[in-house]
Amino acid sequence: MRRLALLVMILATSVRAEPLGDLDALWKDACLWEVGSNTEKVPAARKALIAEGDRAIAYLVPERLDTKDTLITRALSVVVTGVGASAAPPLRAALRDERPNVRRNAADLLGQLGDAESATAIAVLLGDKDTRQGALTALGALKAEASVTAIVDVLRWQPPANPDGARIVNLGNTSEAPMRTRSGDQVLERERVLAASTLGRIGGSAATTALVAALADRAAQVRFAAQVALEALKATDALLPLAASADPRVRLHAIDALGTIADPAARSTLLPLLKDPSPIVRGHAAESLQRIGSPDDHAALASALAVETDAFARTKMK
Amino acid sequence: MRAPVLAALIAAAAADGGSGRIPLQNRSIADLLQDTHVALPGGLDEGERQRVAEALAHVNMSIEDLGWDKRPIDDPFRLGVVNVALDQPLALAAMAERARGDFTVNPAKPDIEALVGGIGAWQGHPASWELSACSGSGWMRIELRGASPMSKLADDVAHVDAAVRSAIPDAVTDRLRADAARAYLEDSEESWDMAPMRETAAKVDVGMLDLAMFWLGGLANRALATDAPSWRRGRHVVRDIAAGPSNDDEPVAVSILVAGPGADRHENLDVVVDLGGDDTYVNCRVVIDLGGNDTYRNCGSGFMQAGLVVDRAGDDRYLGGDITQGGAVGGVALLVDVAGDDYYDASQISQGAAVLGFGVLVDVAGNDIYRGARFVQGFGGMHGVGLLLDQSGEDTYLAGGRFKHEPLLPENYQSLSQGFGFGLRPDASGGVGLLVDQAGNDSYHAEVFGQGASYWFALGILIDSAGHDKYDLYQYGQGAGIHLSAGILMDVAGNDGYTCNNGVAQGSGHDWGVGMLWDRAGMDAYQGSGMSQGGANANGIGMILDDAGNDSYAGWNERNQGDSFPARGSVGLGLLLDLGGADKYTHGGADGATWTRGNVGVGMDWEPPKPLDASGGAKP
Repeated sequence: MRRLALLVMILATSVRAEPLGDLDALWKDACLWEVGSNTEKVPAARKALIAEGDRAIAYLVPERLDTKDTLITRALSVVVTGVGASAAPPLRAALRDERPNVRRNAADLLGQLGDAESATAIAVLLGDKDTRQGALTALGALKAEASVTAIVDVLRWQPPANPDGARIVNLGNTSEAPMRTRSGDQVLERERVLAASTLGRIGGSAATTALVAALADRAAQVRFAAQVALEALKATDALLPLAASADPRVRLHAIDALGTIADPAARSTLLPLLKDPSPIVRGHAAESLQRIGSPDDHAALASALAVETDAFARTKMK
Repeated sequence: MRAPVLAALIAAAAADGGSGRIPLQNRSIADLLQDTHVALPGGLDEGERQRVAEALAHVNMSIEDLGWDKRPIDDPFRLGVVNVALDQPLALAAMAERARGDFTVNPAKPDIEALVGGIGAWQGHPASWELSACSGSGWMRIELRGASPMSKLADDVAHVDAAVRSAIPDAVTDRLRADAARAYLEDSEESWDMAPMRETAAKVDVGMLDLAMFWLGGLANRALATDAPSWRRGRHVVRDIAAGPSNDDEPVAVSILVAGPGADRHENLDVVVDLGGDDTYVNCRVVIDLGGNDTYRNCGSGFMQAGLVVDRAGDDRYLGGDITQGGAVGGVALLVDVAGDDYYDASQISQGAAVLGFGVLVDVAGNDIYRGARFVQGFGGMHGVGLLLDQSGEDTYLAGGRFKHEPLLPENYQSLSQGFGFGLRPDASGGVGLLVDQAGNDSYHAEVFGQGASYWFALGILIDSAGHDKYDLYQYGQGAGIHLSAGILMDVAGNDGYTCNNGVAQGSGHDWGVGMLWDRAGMDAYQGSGMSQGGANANGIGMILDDAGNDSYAGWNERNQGDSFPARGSVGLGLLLDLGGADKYTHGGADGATWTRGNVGVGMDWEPPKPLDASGGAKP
């Protein structure tokens, strides 16, 4: 079925094809799914396109950027980054293209090229719902510190409250119902998740502060993305106080993140949690201590295990 | 022949927006379930929900959290039930229970009209009796009293045909005929532009097709109730039937052949009634057979039309290619076999399968064998609902063996069957595929994609209500959601065996998908590997719930039994919940244990609190 979708996209591109039959054929193969019987054909086609250099870039940019198909964007990524920096100028121009797909993919590719010169122009696209995800990915790749404030705005966005407390769902299949995502029509939950991971790639105090706040977010995926981002930043200092948070969700995220970071500095915070009233907290604290792996904690874990009655916590203490 | 819309219903419609039309969503399954995160009628009970909540707490989640966004895009073919399943994964259990309750018949007197009257609700339409009054046409039929069986049959056929014609605007008929089936059936490397097909497909009035299916069910009921002496043998042409949504429609005539009790061969007939004998039917559209061991070839097709087969007795053979045996594309199809051990063999979009319409196969009794290639045995494609109901008997379901799943698995065959929904990625959401087997020890075999699963904004449901059953699959299914899609396999009773060579399987969700395997009783054996038995990744949710019995969970891959791993920038939630019995696990689980694994994976083998002894302590 991927092939079915791909065939449609190939047709969509081929109907606009210039007299570049050789590149058309290579591009068709480069966009196939690199699995099974395609595992040799696809890399070979991509390699041949890379060897074409600027001719291939002229073929691809901007026309072939007008797609949402992930097989095609994957091929674009390999070929454009394979060609390298000479692809940047036409991609920068493509940031102003009237087609949202082209703008979004151009931003994404510029990020993959590490084209710092384009960061400011890409940041502008954060305000464009059609290109926001590409912009976030690119800004993370570029570690664009100047964009942190704008990215935090995306992360912090909340769907408007529904007066009766009910969640908005689009039941679809009716012309009477407006099309909308449950996140509303301004910022998708997916974009907020991506904003968190982008901040995790950029870092800095403002990013860390925003990520800590996001550990209490209503959306589970945003909370977990913030946790993963803080782990990537090795934000031990920011996380330590959260292990005593009154919000049980924040608390568990912090305990788990400290275990992933595995900084021995967290031991003194985690050890007392082996006696926490909550067996879930005791279990997670034990697991994090196990991940830090200090021999000095063996005795404490053994002592805790000796008196532990909860099966889950016991499992984590062994 | 026609009557004005009932005044009361007009009033109700007017009161509900003043448009003179009751909003289509009002009585849909989706509407009934959209708020069921608060209360799930017919789904998990309070105890089961409590255990789910307890397990989720161990991975820092709640039931409410399951509603994270899994549908960032939309398209005109999206069904409400799909959205609800993605938004509220536990609603899958309620949907399965609803289907189990709705899709059953009394073997002594099957009411087919009532059965198919509930199918439109899965598309998002009101119950059919209501739809007939509010479909926008004001089209209401009057029961023919005192008319002959031939007149009634002709009237039924004419009305069903008129409804199908009305559902498909003339301007799009040719395009649909050429492309709608092709979108699913073609297996070549040739590319073609589906955009025009999508545009025309969106113009098909599936609500009107629901009405056609409802009337087809009424026709089936009358066929079941009319005995041989009532039919008059010979060729009949019933004229001047006023069937159409408009008073300006020209009356039509319907030609009917009523054949005797001998062994007959009927070929290329529009409407045929046969009073008995071992008959052979070839390319007949509407068939009513009262007895004998019969053979059908490509009969009752719902390809851009209404197709019907009603077989009242005998061990029958149904043979065919695509879009047959209760298979519909841009139309409706119904096959009802009341008795006998039957054999069904088809290729694609058959045996209770539909794209842009409704396809239903009902086998009331007997030990039956169903065999098909892909898109069969309860399949729903774009704006389609397909239902296979097997009411009793020990049955065998086979799907695959013809179309290789290239390039990913070039040595394995696609199935996409047995309670499977399938959308056209990335162009159009899929429909609902339902396979409901109400009794017997059954065997299900599929290869790649199948058994209560779906792909791309669709819904697949497999329900087995009783018996010791065997489920065998190669990859992707057994209660799985694959790529922004949802599926459930619910087995209500019996000691069952589940095997799958590779995940995503046995209660798993892949890439924003939601899957659930719910086995409610018996000593069960699960053999899976790789994202199986409560596995998930990439914004997906996978759940396996086993309510009772001494069960075994096995697999060689690490990613099993309440596990998850992050992918594409998101976590997934994998949940294994075993609520009773002495169980065995290959991945560290144990009776009474709770474990967390991977990114956000959790397993809980729950045991009821031990009874207290006289001193107030727990008995050992």
